[in-house]
Amino acid sequence: MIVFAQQGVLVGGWEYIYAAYAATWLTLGGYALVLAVRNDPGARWHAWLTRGRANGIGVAGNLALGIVIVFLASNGQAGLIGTQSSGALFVLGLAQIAFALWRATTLLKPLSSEETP
Amino acid sequence: MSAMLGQIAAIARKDLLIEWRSPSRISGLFFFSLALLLMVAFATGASTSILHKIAGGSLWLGVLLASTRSLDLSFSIETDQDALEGLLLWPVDPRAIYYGKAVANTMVLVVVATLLTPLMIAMYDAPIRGNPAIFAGFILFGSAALAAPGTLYALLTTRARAASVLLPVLLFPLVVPALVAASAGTTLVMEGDPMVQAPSWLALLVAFDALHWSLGGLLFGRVLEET
Amino acid sequence: MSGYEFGPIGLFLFVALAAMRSRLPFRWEHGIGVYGLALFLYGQYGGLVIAPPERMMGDVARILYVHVPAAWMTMVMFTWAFVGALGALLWRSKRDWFDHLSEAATEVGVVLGCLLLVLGAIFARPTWGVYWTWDPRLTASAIMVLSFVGVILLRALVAERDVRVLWASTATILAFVNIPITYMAVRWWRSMHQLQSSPDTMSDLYVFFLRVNAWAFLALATWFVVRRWRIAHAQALLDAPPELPPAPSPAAAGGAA
Repeated sequence: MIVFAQQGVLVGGWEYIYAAYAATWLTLGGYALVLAVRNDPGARWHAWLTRGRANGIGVAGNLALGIVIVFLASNGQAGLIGTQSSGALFVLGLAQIAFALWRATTLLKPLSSEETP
Repeated sequence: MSAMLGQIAAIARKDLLIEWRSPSRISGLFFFSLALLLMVAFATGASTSILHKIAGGSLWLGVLLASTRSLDLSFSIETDQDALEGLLLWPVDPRAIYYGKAVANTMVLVVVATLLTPLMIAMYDAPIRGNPAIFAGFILFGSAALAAPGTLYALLTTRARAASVLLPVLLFPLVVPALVAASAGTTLVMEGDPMVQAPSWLALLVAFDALHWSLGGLLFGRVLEET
Repeated sequence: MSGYEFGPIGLFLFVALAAMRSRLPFRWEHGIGVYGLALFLYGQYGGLVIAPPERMMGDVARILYVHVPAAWMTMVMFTWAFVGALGALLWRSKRDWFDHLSEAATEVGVVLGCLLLVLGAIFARPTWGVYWTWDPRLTASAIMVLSFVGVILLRALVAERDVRVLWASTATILAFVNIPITYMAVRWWRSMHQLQSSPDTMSDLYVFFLRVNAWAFLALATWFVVRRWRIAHAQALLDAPPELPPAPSPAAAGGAA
């Protein structure tokens, strides 16, 4: 948490730093991934990723949401879901991550012949 | 040079004549902007203390939104019955077409703004305490600032899908400096401008106009020949 | 200042050596991309761990290691987009090459620009207390990103290729010219954004890792642009009308009949 010491010097604030760096890595990495996928339409892993595009976005979204919730829970932000219990928020985040991973496994079935470019 | 001026005058006259014969455009725009001024008053709770501070800005917001409709219409009269082809077959410098249409669009916006001003003064309790000549200058150069890039982009909307969405999205970020200058300057003039800051805003507006009227002419010629 | 300068040099030599010894065929931009990634990891680690906290802002100043390079690169990208637009309008034989550059740089610029605005908001919250304020630099940046989003929208909504290239170039030129004007106009209002810090007022280590991050962003952005250029090029080839076979000459037709 930020503590404004005297003489206006800031102390702490690491959650902002983490948020900023995470946003940077996700943006750059995500865009690199998008470019890679669009650049190699013949690649098999492209077929995997674009298989049921909504599924892929859903997995990514769930995963991201779960990570964010776990992060917030471990920083005492349980008030976001109207509860005093960080534990509840933490469990919610973990459940999100688990769900995302389960959905991801359903995408990893072998490519059928009509999906392969 | 005088030939080009003659062409510009002819095209501006043509557009304004069409408007004069059936003034649906100007009256439509006027009522649209009037409705907007009313809506702004309701949205901000209609308290006079707030209203007379935002009067200048609301006026320009009204003119800005009216301009998107006006610019759409200025080229739809050309695409109806393929009038644009006729215009292009005429041996005229394409820049003259641009300047003629931009002049006509400016005049339309000036008329709309002028009609709105007394209503704004009354509804928002915002009399013009400063120099009315400077106020008129803002109306003239502000309208010109909206018309110049707007005419250029309006030609585009004859060729793009979702044109009515695209024109504002393209135009609004471009005219932000003009909107800032016109709103700030108008508000200053209405409040009496004790520190004489309005002329600097007017100068910025004139510089903006000079840039976009010349740039527009340059680009329009290039674009029209291939559209 | 300790041996940190050897980091970028060493990484460069390592990547170059690896590239030369690699027997895999790869496109030239991947070399830049890999070096950019290496530099990026080095710079991020330096910014997070090695660099000392700033005197007034404490650790929160570390956000500047990503915010400032993002800002610089956004401007660079939009400048490249402007150059591409000019080239597309003025150099007819290379029109498509320049148009692809413009398209690629605009998209990368918008991605970096959105990141810039988000990072600015994250930085503003602890330092100024608010996520957003209408000071000149922020306002002008938001308008700038919005203008170029409009250009991308324009490209998406115009179907014919020649018209699209022409209009996108026009819109890009207008959007780029608008940046300094908007900034100047909005600057006449109050400003909260800190004045440009000259490197002399900051510690050497801070400046060093800022530069490392900036070059890393540049290398990555270049990689992005080249990759995106290739996509635009491939798309143009795909959209081009099919080549018709040459019409048979009357003599051949007469001879066959």
